[in-house]
Amino acid sequence: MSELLKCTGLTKKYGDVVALDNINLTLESGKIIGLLGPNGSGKTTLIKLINGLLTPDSGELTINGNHPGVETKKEVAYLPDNIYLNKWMTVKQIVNFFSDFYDDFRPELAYEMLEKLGIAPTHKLKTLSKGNKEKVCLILTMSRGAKLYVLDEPIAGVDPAARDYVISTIINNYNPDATVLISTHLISDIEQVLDEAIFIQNGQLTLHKTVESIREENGKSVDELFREVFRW
Amino acid sequence: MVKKLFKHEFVAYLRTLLPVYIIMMAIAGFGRLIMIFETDTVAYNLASGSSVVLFVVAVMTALIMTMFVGVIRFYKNLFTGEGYLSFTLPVTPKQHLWVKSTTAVACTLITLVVILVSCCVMVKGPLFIELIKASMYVLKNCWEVCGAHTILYVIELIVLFLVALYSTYMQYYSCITIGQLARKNRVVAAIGVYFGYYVISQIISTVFIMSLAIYEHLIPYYEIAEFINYHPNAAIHLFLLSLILICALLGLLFFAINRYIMTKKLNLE
Repeated sequence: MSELLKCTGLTKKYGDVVALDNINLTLESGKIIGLLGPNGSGKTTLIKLINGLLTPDSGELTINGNHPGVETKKEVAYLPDNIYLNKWMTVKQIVNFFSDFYDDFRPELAYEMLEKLGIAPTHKLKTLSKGNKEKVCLILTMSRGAKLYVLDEPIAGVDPAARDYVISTIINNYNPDATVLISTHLISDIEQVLDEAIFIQNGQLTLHKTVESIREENGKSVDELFREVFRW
Repeated sequence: MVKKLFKHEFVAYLRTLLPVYIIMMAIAGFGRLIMIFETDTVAYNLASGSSVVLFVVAVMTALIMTMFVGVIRFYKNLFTGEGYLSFTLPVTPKQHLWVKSTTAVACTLITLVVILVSCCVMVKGPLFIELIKASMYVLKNCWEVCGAHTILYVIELIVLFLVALYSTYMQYYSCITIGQLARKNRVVAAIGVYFGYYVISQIISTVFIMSLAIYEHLIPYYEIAEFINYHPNAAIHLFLLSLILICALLGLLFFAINRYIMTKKLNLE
């Protein structure tokens, strides 16, 4: 397993508010990792830093040895927690857009997944339901052969039945050599697919272990431990 | 990547501007059609007058829409939800700025060409021939007075127009990028920055004029007048080149502001 992502002393502040405080973290390739924490814990800030959407106030972040930039954006597939596509485009136009910009994009895989869902490529995004828009976003992200998939709350806004679809889409389509970083607070739904779990609270990393060792050491599931640690 | 960015940028622009162009050409064609049935009746005068007013409104709309689309496209594509995709493409902020401003300038030029063509459609006939004759007359007289300098003037004016257009778009973009530094009400903040620029430019011009008055004795008016008198072409070239330089420097300043914020201070909502 090679080192894919490394954060050293990573700190990000919004005015006086410290969103991330001296984060030291190393992620290896070939893992599915849960980035777990309550709302406002700093998950999205860390994800934005990974994607170069924010710059750290101090510390360093590298992906495959590169700082966030053009090279890392070729290797990172990002699913934000909101609909980020041009609503006037048809699904086909969006697929072509991804094909144009990402060399690792697999359009045939995207069309296959769209067909299974019954979403016609000729449909405009604005005509799709909220759930289907989210699924299109997920399909586009997972159709890339990226080295790191960063999924921000992929199951937060969907019903339990759709959650199964989202999780199976992630599991069945990611590049096996890659790492998948899933941010969520709905742990019980994804726990069965996780290799590692990261707990983040008030901008600080409080735990980074394999799911197996969490179960062995604590005699609890990740969900149970999360509820214990983050109890109000 | 830049080619691909251009391709998608033009598609996004033209989906909005193409209907505007088509409507403008249709109004011009309609106006021309009315002129074919020229009669000295109230109905004809009313119809032809209305078509001219309609055409002027269409031209104004096309110009305003082009600038509006240029600014809105920059804001929507980079600083709303779409920004999450735009800024995670393997493209640098510099390339985004270059492509967005060039597309905006190109679309402004396309709009001007469409306006010119629709004018030709609208005023075809004796009036059109008179307009061509008048333009040729101005150019001919300019050639007689200035000689080969006429070509240089035309080139300098075109360059000035393009540089000023780039600089204007960069200024609008900088209003948006500075505005997005605000935590809330970012659009209002961008409008505030625009008025801030206006106030600053007024202060600078007032200080400049006052300085000219205060340090009047230091300015070699006589030498300047003599230079203009003996070397009029050189004076005009100097004036135009100075304007190009000022516009280019302002454009570069706004470009640097935009690039810095998009690289170091990006904070999407």
